[in-house]
Amino acid sequence: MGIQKRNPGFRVAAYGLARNDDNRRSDGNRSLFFFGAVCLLLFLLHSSSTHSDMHSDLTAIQSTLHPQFTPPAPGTYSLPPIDTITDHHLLDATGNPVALFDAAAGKIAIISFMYTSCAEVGGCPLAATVLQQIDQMLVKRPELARQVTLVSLSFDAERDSPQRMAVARHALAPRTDWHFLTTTDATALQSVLSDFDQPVAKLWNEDGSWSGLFRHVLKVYLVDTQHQIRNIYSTGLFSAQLVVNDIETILMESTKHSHSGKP
Amino acid sequence: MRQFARRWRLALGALGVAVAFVMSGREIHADETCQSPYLPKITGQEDYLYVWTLGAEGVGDGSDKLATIGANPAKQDQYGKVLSSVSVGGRHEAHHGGFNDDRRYLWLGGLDDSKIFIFDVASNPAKPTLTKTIDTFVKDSGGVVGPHTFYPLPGRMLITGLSNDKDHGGKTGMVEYSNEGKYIQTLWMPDNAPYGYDVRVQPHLNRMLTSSFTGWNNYMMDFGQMVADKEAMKRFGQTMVLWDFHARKPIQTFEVPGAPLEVRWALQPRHDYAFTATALTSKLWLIAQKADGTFEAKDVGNIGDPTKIPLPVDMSLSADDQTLFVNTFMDGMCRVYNVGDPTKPKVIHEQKIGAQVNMVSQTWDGKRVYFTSSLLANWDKKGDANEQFLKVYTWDGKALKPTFTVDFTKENLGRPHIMHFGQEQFYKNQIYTEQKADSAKVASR
Repeated sequence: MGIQKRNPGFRVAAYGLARNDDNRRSDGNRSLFFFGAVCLLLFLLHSSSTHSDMHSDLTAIQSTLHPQFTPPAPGTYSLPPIDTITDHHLLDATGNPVALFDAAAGKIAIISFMYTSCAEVGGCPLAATVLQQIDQMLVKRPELARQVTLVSLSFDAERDSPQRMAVARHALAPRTDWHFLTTTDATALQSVLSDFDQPVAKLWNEDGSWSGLFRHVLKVYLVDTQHQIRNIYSTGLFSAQLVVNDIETILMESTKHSHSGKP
Repeated sequence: MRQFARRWRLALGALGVAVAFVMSGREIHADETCQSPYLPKITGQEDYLYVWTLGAEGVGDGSDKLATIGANPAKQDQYGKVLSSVSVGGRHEAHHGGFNDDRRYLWLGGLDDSKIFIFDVASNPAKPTLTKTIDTFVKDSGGVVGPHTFYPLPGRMLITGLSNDKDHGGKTGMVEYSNEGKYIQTLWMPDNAPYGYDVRVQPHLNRMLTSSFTGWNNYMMDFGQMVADKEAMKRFGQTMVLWDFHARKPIQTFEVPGAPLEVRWALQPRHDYAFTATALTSKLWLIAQKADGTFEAKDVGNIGDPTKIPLPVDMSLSADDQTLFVNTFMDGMCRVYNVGDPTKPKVIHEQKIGAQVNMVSQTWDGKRVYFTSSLLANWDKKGDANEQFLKVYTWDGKALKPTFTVDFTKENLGRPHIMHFGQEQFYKNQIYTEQKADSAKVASR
């Protein structure tokens, strides 16, 4: 029957309410957590064993990094537009203003909302790891890479300064067109989040102080050159090959006909 | 070099924290089962129960309504009481509904006229408000009738239909809307399995499973009249369909005679199987992945005595995949199965809930179980047997012990149907802006 018994397992959306005794120190530790989590995920990514002796909680992350299915072939399915986004004024990792549409510049964009203090391994660190996988796949396919841009966009306007996004960029060492963007302030951030329908909320301690964490539903957006959202990925069905196949599906479609806006 | 070594030590330390955090995740995470894996779960004790309620003639204003019931025993002034009731005006055959992917909005459907009502739950969880009505479902979808299951996907709502506007029979499809209520696409059921009912996705397998019921002509007909109509009784679904979820394409069809209804995927890793129950043949079925990656459907046992047609309706699988609650409408029973070995379900408890019972929902920890009574306006029992209730129990692994009951007729509400949980703290955290966050901080003090 293909049925195996396992221990009670992984919960996709686990949130913690950390104490907030020293903001600066805890921020630093959380940034390290993010990169540590990325390291962990990269370890899992390059681990060939599917019978990991690590805790079974990691199984779901493993299944994202090593999918148990073969994604449908490019062009064999359709991705009807879900919504259309507008342009937004952001900051790049050098601190220069940049418009989102200029960052995408006529390319298909993979836009991942994240924050560098994320303490949920199956959230932002997982998204960053999958984006890095995509980056590595694109390196091997320069023709395709020219038509794609990756965007990691922070929803932590307070702490994720351009400098911190530059650290993230350095740690992830992109080899293709991968932008690390943040917003100037909470107002600009709100505009972006509303446009993308990306729920983000601060998690509060019982004493009313901010835990330093956000509740967020992991969403990664596939946006075509006409600024239409064509797919939204979340934990469980977000593999690099799946995203690359979706990109190719859109590119194949645009070679056949200009898109009408209706499925 | 020293700096490099320090960085690595820090990174390894963080890695250790990451592993510890993953391991601690199960302690933090709690609450209801049988939902979309894309839906954030609420943690701890639920504060509210939202009950989508059919209007009944002569009961209150007679309209369909969303009733909110206090469900937290720590809040004695609310516990077991009707906190709010929002009428949507008219009777639409209120039936099923579901939250969107961030749980802020509750979409509720009417099987008769295919209207969809969207409630804002986040702004005031004790008193949801109707914010939008979609009355173009049939037109948008190209003829799908009877929005049934509302299944959240990232940024979208996937809705199964039960019927169509050409002959009001069982041929139907599934319809996707964006979270904003914009129509995206219609997926018609395949020709060899045209009926529809429930849908559930197992993302890590990229598989979606659908079941099949009957069309508008039957579900809007008087139950006794329908059972006496041999032709009508032939028009029930006999199939389940396995889909490539990402491509939204059917890849396997299973013969599952007798109207397979609720689909319940197992929740634990590597438990690559799902259960369903057939309404007319009273069987429990297992749909499980085989070693070659394909799936097979297998009858794994009777539910009660099938010759008496107990009519299995809703069911609920525990978060650890060990316990399955199955309701049968005609005898008003809940049967609890141990499904630790999914191929050999064993009845571990039977309990009569009422003269009739339909829906069952359990909390994530499996300690509280909620039941409602109504099936369909024209299928509910008549006279004294037409009990309309919400009954709440605790479950200790052996027996269901009653905690509170709400009589939906005495409360002038109607016929209670699907239930969803709400929690004050969950929604306090669903705040976007700094300004609002500050007010929430004050409010939580």
